[in-house]
Order: sequence, then structure tokens, then C-alpha cells
Amino acid sequence: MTRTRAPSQQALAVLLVLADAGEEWRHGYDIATQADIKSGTLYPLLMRLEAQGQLEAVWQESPTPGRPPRHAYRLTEAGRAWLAGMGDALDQARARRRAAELQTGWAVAPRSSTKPS
Amino acid sequence: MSKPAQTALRLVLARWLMRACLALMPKAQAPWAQAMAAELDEICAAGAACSFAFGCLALALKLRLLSTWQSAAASAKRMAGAFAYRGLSGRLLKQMHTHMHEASVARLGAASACLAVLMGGVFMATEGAPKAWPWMNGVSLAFALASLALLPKQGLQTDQRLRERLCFLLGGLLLASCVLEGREGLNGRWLQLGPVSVQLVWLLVPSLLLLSNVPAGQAQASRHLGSGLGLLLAIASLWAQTEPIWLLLMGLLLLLRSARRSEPQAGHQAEPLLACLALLAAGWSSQHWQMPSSQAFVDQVLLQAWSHSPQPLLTGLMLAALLLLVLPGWRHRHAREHSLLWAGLLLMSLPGFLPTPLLGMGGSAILGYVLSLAAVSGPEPDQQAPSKAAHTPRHRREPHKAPWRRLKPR
Repeated sequence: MTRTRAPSQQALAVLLVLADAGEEWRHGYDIATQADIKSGTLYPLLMRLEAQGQLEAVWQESPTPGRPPRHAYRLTEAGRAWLAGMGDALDQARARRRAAELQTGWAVAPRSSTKPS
Repeated sequence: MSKPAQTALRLVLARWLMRACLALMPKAQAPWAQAMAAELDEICAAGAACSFAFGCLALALKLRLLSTWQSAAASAKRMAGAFAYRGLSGRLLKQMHTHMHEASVARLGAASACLAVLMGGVFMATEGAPKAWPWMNGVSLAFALASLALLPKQGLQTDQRLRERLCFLLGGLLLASCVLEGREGLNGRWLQLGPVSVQLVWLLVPSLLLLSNVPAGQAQASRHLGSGLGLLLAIASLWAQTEPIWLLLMGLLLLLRSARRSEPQAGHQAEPLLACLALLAAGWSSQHWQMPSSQAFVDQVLLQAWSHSPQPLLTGLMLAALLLLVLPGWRHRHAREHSLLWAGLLLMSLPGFLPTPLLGMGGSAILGYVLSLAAVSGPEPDQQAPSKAAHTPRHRREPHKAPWRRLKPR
């Protein structure tokens, strides 16, 4: 029998970003900046979520010629259902994120430092 | 440094870190490494790019260590299973034989180096060497293994032009190092590179010698000017540094190499000449050479172990670890030159002409051994793929005919 651990705060932050994106595809660096976590923490989470079937990933061609295709992610139906079952934990994570945004004067709109494509 | 220069440097560093990440990531997670590399191209802030790439590299290193550990544990489990259920039977020995046969030169050599350094470390720790020495050897080994993992081994094995250029470059470096102010220490000449002292001879000469070897299949591909010049520069440098032992080994190895070639091939005529030159230089420099004074835990380590330890177990284990260093050449025909060279160095270290490599204190020898594994030339074409006959049952193979019978008219 597989044991499902309660997601960590970083995992909740990533899930929150993906949940807020809805049907939209998000890229790795955008998720890392919005969830405020390092790449070394983000990718193991993404790998695990994809292996559990809660996340789907696709390769998207870059609109800028010469740049390699990027990996984009979004929650699957199963992922969304799993997230909906969390209830309080997700709300608490959302509240924490809002508090952190207020503390640092972070804009509500997602910040992005990626090159314009 | 100006700000644009700093930014450019950081971006270059980020790219190098990501390249290392791509090389280190286990095969199963390779697409994820590509995804990370693609993200790096989209980050415009140099600091953020560096931080992103560093995180990815740390992750790749962690996953690589995990996968290595898992595969080693699985192998150990299989072997332990065989041991438990079938006893120490032929099956277990067969499995060990298969594992050794399938392992590449680099893996076998790296495993042998790990064992030798471990045994040396145990000896140093138990016999009262300075506490930092085993750790320093360990750090050198870790650095050497990481470098070996990052080196493009396949390119180094097969790309003759790259091998020649590198050989020439190493020869040039060796000669240039003679100009730098060296520190004449115990057993050789040391160079201070930043916080560490290195013996460039141990570091560069083994790789240079192995890089100068041209795989038989590529004999006609080029004129081997680069490798010949590299060897010439190395001989000049070793002569200038009064290293007769290295020159002797180089000369013998080149003589052996030229004798092993069944037919004289274009570009190989220089090898006997270079061998004679190396031997002449060895004779010349031996007149000015003095036997180095012995230092505990660096020179004659086996003799020291034998005289210190009342039980022969430790000495026996250390001798076995030392002999393991020639294992790659025993298992792989194309790595025989590597093993011959290191066997020569080990022999010369027994009477104390050279420091004991890997068992004794000395990071340069550890780096030299591990890095020279990457310089071993690729297997010859007939070794790369098993022949068709090997897969055909004996009774279905065509009977062998002597050449004159094959040419007989019907």
C-alpha cells in the first residue's frame, strides 16, 4: 500500500501556483519565482507530482527562433481533485503567501524576469 | 571588474554549471535536465541564472549519487542473494566475473582507485599519520572522480584530432611549468597553484602518454604531428626537471608500443625515435639525479606497512588494493597501456624512486591515475562489436580454411 505524505510548505506553494493557473501551462522558472523556491527544490517536486499523475508536462516550441523548446506544466484532473480534497491546508498556504506578499511589498501580479520572447 | 563583464562572467558560469548538470543527471531524468537547460535560456538576470543553474547542478549531483547508490545496493543484494542461496559457488564467481567484464575501463579504474585510497586512508589513520592526510586524499579522489564524470570520455576515446591537440597542449603545459618557479621538495618538483601544491608531472604525463597512442583503426587518419610534438615537449620538460624515472618509463612504453605494431604505419615512424630520445634523456638526467629521501606515509608505504604492522593482513590488503590499479588493463585489451604505465610506476615506487601512488599521501597521483582513465584510447574495431561467429553455434560455423586453400581454383 502506498502512503501519501502530507505535502510540505514548498509543495503547497507550487501546487497553489499551478492551481491558480487553472488550464494554463506554466514554465519551471515562472513557478519557481512565484512560489519563491529554488530550482533544486522545485524540480524534484515536479518530478514527483508527474510520477504520481497529479501533473502533466508538455514540450512547447519557443516562439523565438533558435531557442530550445520549453517544458510546461499544469495540474491534471486527478491533481485538481486531490488538491480540492486538501481544503484547509491549501487555504492556509494561500493566506501565508498573501501575508508574505504584503510583507515584501510583492505585487499580486506574478513577477517575471524571463526574457521577452 | 566592470558590471557588463561581471554579468557576462556570471552568464558563462551559469552555462557551465548547467552543462555539468546535463552531464551528471542520470539517464532516467535526462529530459528533466533538458527542461532545466531550456529554462536557463529564458532567464535574463545573470544572478538569477547562476542561482537557478547552481540549484539544478546540486539536484543532478544528488540524483546521480542516489542512482549510483541504488545500483550498487541492487548489485550487492543480487550477490548476497546468490551467496545465501547457493553458497560460494561458481554462480557467484560467474556473476562477479560478468560484472567486472561489463564495467567500462573508467568505472573499473575509478573503483580500483577508491579501494586503494580507502586502504591508504585506513593505514594512515591507524598508524598515526597527520589527521588531515587521509581526508586530503579523499578530497582529491572526490575531485578526480567528479572531473572524470564531466570529461567527454567518448570524444576523448574516438576523436583522434582532439587527442592529438590535447597531447600537444599537455606537452606545452608541462614545458611551460619548467619556467614557473617550482618548489624543490621531497621527491620531485612542486608547483604552488593557489592554495594547493601539485606535482604536474604526476598530473599530466600519464594522460599525455595515453593520449599519444593512436588507435589501430585510425592509423591512417592523420599524421600524428600533434602527439609527436607533445611527446617531444614532454621529454624536454622531464629532462629539464631531472626526472629520469619518468623518462625511462616513457621510453620503455614507446618502445613497447612501436614493437607491438605489426606493420609500420604512416606517422608511427617517430615513435622508436622518440623512445630512444627519452631513454637517452633518462640516462643523461640520471647523472644529476639523487635518490630522494624517504618520507613516512608518502614513500615506500608498503614497506612501512610491513615493518609497522605485526599482522600481515593490512599489508596484504594494501598490496591487493595496489594490484587492483592494473585491473582495467587486465579486463580490457585497449587499456593495457594504462595498466602497464601504472604497473611501472608502482614498481618504481617500491624501492622509493617515486612516491607510492594512491596508497600514500599525494593528490597529484590520485588525479593523474583517475584522469588518465579518460585518456585511454577506444577499443579497436574488432573489440567493439562481437563477431558474427561468436554468436553462431560451433557446429554451424564454416570450417576454417587456410588462405592458400581459399585461393585454390575449382
